[in-house]
Amino acid sequence: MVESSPLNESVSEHPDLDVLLFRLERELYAIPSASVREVARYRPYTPVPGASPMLPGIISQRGMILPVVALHLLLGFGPIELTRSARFVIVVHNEIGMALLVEEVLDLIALPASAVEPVPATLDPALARFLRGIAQHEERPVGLLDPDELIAGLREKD
Amino acid sequence: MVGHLTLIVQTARHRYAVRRDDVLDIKLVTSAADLQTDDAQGRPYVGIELGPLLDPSDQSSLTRRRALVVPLHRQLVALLADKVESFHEHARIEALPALLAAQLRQPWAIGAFVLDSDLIIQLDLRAVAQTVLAAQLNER
Repeated sequence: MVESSPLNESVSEHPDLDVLLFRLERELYAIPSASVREVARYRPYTPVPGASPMLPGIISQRGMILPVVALHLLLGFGPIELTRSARFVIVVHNEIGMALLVEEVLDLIALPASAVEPVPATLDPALARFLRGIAQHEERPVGLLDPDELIAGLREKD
Repeated sequence: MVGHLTLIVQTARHRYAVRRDDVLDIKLVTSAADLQTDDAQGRPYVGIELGPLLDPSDQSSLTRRRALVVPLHRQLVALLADKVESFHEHARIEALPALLAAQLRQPWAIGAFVLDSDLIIQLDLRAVAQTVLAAQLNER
């Protein structure tokens, strides 16, 4: 059984955490807006021969060449259906840029620290490692993603 | 990353950039017989379609092929594509994002640049040719 993750200090020190809320595999996830540069409409990316399925290609966004992150695969989900709602969430964290592929971007919201709870010990560890905590938004659970851990996960050989 | 002369190679589905220096010759191939004779120095050709090697869905229906001939280990690897056009580089070729480059399963892609609003991947054609020869050795 997996231990519950302690809340990240930045969550508990600040009353609110501004996050970008998005949908993936019918679930809600959020990423700190401090790491988000912009949201771009999904368009076909340029596949890179020999690339990992989690980082299958690149896009050029405002002159920057960014790797596309198949977030659903990183989080352990199966294939997703890309509709007109699909978006790239352009993230720059610790000077590392990436374009997270998500099914739909919903809103920019402020999560009260009190709304963020530790990751349940029953959650699949493969997914739990990428979460700082679970928040509630309009009575639905929201997985709060940890950008550091996303990058660490992408750096591991799959 | 600024290169010298770069070739733009077109397959059925993609365009790629390759360094001219990696290519010994560009041959017109209209039938398999064109690659069955050795070159003037007695080196045999190993012919393979470039498109499906890099992307299995990249299948060409054209019979008139351009072969990019890469010399390796006393053999010539002929990578077949739909079309080749050369140009003197005027765009900046950038290295691939480090996060992605570190995860490559094959060392084929080395950079990218924007051409006519398309993002073009730059290939290390020698690395591609080495993969072809290694696969051929494994089959023996």
